[in-house]
Amino acid sequence: MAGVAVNSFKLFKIFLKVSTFTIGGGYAMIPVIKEFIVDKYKILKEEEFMDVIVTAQTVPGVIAVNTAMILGSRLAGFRGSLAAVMGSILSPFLIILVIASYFADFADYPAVQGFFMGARVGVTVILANLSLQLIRKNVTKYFLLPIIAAGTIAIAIFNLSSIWILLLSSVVVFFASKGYRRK
Amino acid sequence: MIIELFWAFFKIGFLAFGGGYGALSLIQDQIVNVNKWLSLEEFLSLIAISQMTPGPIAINSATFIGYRLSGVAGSISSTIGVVLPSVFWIFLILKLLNLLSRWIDTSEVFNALRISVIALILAATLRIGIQSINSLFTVFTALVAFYLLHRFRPSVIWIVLGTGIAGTLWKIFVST
Repeated sequence: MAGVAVNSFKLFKIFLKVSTFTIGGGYAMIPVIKEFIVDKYKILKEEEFMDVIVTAQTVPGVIAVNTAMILGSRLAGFRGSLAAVMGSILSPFLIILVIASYFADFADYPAVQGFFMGARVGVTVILANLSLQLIRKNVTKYFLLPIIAAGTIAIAIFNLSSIWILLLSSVVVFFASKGYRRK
Repeated sequence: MIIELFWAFFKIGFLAFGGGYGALSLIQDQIVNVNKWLSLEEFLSLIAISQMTPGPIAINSATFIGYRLSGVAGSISSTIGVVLPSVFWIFLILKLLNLLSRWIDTSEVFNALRISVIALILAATLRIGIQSINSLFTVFTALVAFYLLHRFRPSVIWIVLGTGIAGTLWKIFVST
């Protein structure tokens, strides 16, 4: 594995930050985790990071936890995966406990509603930015674009299960790339 | 109750493909339909809060529902329940990949998967985008945020916090 060595504590801190500052669940965390692991600390290259993300999606479970577990175990063994998972669940857990015990009407405050409304716009922007980066880097042949577009529409508009789209479109990309090279 | 909660969330974690939003229907099934621990209305208000607070939605709702039903012990057992299946699945997939790489060149498979996962991320972008960018204010905020992200390259955390604060100010001073 390329990149710099990381210890468990650093992984814990990274995932603590990621889970404390991202609203909107698993996908919203991907650009934030990427920023730390790839751009800032250069622990993994972008392709290696995307391999981790892909692997995390191929099995059931909480995506953020799966990602933390794979990254942790690759970078710092069992202790690393434990540290990363603890980091990714600790602050959401504590925040929910505080809200559940003291602010049961949390969602009714206008300030909270406004923050949520705005933050989701921010999450859309950082996800759109990540998508553009990935397309620019990975889509080297034009025939890949319609495949990606079809997959996107199938999931977002027709509500098909993402795991099947992931597998199906990978098979298509795999053989299309082979055929393309043979020409 | 604590063991029942653990078991219900263990099943959810074990079967939830595609992350939080995929898990929501499983959670609803276990909590509202099968075990009848909450009414649909109570459930939806807990889910609304789970989506509005930081962190993975499945973790948030496990913690919240566990606490509501059985206090701190319930929240701990639900959270462990939803996380634990990942240990099994991740162990399995990593072993499997390891085994596969001895027989075939997995790099080409990963090349294909890396292309396809872009569709998943784009779909998530589209879903959140359609729900959240629906007014003049949100369109404007999105454009400004996108410009700032490209012009100054701040941490994406600042983009989420900044747009959140903008939303708070808008809600308090303008729209109400």
